[in-house]
Amino acid sequence: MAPFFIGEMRQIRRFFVAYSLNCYTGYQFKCMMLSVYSQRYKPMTASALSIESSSLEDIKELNLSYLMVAQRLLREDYAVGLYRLGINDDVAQVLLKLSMSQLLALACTPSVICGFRLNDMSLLSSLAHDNMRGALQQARTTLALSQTHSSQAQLSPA
Amino acid sequence: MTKSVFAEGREISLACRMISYGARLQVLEKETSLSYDRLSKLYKEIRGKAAPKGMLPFSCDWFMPWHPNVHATLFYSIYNYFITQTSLPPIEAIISAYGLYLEHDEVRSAKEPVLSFTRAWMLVRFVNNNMLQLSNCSECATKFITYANEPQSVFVCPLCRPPIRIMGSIRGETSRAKRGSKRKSDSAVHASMDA
Repeated sequence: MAPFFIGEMRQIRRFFVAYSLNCYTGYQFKCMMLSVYSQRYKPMTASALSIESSSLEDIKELNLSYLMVAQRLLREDYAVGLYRLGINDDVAQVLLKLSMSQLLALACTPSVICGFRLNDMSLLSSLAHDNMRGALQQARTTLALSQTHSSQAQLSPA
Repeated sequence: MTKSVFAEGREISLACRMISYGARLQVLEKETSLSYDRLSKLYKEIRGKAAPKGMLPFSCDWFMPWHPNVHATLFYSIYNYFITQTSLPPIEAIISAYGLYLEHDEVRSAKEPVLSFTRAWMLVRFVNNNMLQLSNCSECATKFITYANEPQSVFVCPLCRPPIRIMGSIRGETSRAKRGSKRKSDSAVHASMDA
């Protein structure tokens, strides 16, 4: 992991103290952490790409939110966290061990790191069969999410 | 008789979680090694009234009508996920899956959940003893709870082919209450099923 500059280190420590005192909301905290980090790794051509940079920021924000929520869910209740995130046991173990700086480094990639869980076919079929007029939509989505995963697991050993 | 205090503490906390979901004493007796007297005392302390007596609901048929079937399938597919994907012990998987089942809007909008904890526990036992099974719908490929040995090639799930009376109540509700929220139409389904 690349070391922070001393000034940044102080800034980040201040954020951490403030965060632990609940002075900042999670969102503010994440924004600040990201701004510090993106200053550090700002590419030289950033001004030329100013149109895209806001969506890049959005992607980093999404990545960091995802990773932080994932860690929190797994710490609260490991098995339920696995169910909600739809990830493997092995991946979850690694995710739990990541430190804050590793998390930030992962989040700062320019592509989205979390995937879409409803694969195309099951999503299409669940949306196309809207003969219930919106009733039971949650139940249907849960069935699709929990069952696609188990069918993948049955396929994988073969 | 030497008995681990730690293990007993764990069993008591397990029993507490099950009682808070409304488990019957027979379920607690089967899943923990605590005595009947202690369990009934625990029940009274947590829920403030004596545990209901009598036999457990033992019928497979209860899971077959449309509304219970959807709820049973919802619970069982979450439970099945825990069993196949995680290393949770079965009773823990039932408790966690029941907690997740209770989170759904369809369950929360009703006065009390369609599938009680005891029924959910019985459902797992029925499937384990090959009286019920999960069958693939031939139209949408979603798995649903059916009797064991249901012919797989012709099975169509209750969501792809719901009974006419339920369709009627849903249509009526949506045309009457276009301004209403989605939750409203869910509660209409519940109301029509309760009647």
